Amino acid sequence: MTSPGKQRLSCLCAALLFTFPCFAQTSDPYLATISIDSTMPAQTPLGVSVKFSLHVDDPDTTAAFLSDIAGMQVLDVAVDAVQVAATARPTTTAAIEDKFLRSSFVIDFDEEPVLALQEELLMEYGTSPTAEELVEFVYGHIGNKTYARSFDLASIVAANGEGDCTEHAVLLAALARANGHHARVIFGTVIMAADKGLSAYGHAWTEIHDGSEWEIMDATLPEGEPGTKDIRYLPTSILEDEGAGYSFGLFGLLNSMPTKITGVSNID
Amino acid sequence: MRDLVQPMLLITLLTLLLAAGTATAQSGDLDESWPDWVREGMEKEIRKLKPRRVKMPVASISTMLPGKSEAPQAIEDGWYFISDIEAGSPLECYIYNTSLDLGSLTNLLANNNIAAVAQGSGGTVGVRNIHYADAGVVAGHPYLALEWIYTVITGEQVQIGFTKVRVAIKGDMAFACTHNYLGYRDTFARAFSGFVENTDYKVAAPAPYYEEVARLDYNGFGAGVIYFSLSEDEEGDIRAFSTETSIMPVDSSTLMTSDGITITYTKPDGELINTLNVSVENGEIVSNLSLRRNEADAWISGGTLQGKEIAVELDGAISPASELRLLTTARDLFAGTETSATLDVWVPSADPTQFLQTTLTRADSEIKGRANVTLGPMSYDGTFDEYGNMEDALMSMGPVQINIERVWSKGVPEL
Repeated sequence: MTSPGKQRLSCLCAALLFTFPCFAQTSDPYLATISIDSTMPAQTPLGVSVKFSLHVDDPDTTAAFLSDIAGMQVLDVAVDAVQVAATARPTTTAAIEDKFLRSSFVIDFDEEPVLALQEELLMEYGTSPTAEELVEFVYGHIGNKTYARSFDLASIVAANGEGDCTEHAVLLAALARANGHHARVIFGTVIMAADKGLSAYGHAWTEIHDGSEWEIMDATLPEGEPGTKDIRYLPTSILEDEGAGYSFGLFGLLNSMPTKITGVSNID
Repeated sequence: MRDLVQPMLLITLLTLLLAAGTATAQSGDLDESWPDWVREGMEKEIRKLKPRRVKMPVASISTMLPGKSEAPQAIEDGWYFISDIEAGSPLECYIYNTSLDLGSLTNLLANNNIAAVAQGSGGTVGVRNIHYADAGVVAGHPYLALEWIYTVITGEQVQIGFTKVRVAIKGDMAFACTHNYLGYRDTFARAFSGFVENTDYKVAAPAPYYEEVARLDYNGFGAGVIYFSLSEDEEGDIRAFSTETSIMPVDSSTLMTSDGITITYTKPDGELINTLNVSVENGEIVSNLSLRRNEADAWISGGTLQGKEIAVELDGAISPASELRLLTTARDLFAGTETSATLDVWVPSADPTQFLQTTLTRADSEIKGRANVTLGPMSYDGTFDEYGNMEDALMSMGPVQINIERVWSKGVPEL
């Protein structure tokens, strides 16, 4: 059948799919780049709501997941694609649970490197840092924006200060929980509008609950960074298993990733 | 200057190198935007280059190198060779007789060479781009190939550097060659192959009765290679040994390497005794996990994962499948009347906290030996030989396609 080695390399591949081009980096991530085309004239800015087709392996499962996302509406399910309408920052609707506050194997804010970072955070922002301040702090702490990490635990990110979107998301979730915020890691796709046109990438970010709803918090893109307003988030899965078997969950993420995005257009 | 070629204007070089980054970098193709002299330089080769016997000071190893080689120098854990191949700079090769990781060593040699080139010219490394990355087999040894094109900045002057590295490793023997000069890509590849093919050394006991090398291709975005062997130890148990390496350019200037080793001992009937798996990424150990029975006969899955100690007790009544059991199960499935077989497996890289189930379902109505394999959300189609050993497979999940193909084997995977 299959050797552990082949499975391990697949796992690595899964982690590398979520490698968003942080702005400090100069080139696009090869594996995470997703083909995208638009029906709109070039340079057309993205509207408040857009529609598009996500080409995925299992459209029914994707449609079922997306139907629970606030700000997304499934318009059609075809054999190889799901057509959706989406607002700029759709979020999951799951109820807040204690597990989103607890330290876990992956979101390990009780480990020494994260505890030390927490002290630095409190020194800088006081005893009750806001979610926006957490984003700014994590962005600043991860000084080496590199795709060379596959998927690090929060304590490793805290110690190393390097990584791509997954490392930003995991560390932000850890510091959010350490400061009493419900937080979790989300995987999906982002669509970006820039001068060169539309582009799409596999991405990971954090959702932090503000007391009434989940909010997207992206530590790769703190407020004020260029492009912040022209980015669309498309959540396609959640990091459910934060235990030592987290890698197995990454297999499943592969299936939820679109092979391409087509027919992007604004909704009047 | 030995290691660098023609100086060029800063702006021209930076432009061409950054432009190269927009293509799939590891293809090794010439970029249309490169100046003529670079394109011409990249196409330079030496056709007539025959291997010549190198006089070794020890009898345990004999080897051959092309060109005029100097006397080998003893280094820690091996030998260093240098040979004039009339290609702008000499060919440098190494034989290491110690356990090394293929991906890590390839990356290390490339980085050391690039740093040495910059230091030799009194400059600093500017822009770096991965020109070529590949994997394969040479003389039964899995190998990696890596080429970097880069700039070296010395004051106002900018020069282009080009470093080629090839490394092959099997067991405790590693072979490496490097060459720092524009072009001579085929010359270098042939020199390396000849070096490995013409080196004789004593194989550590026990010699495997079966060996294979499989190549992995990730959508053209990277490559990997797996070496797998079976040998019989003094007690009559079977030792399955595998190394897994991948080399993945994650963007135009960043390389990620992954190395893994798995050693499994089984009884001759395939019953698993114990297994060990160590994973290394970018030269750092990510996990070191083993599965063995404790005194109460329960399984203990434990070790370190991302620096954390874990120890999980798993049901001792379960008999997780060894690699050998996987082979015999597939072989028996195709020979029998059942359409599928399900086995418990321990896959520490996926989840060390539980046994997972893998299912093999026959799909051989049109293609002999064809089957579908599932492991949780992972599913792929593969072709199996008469021993139940996978010859090739295509794993397609979302935007990722992984092609696996056995490219070399020796012996048969059963006693």
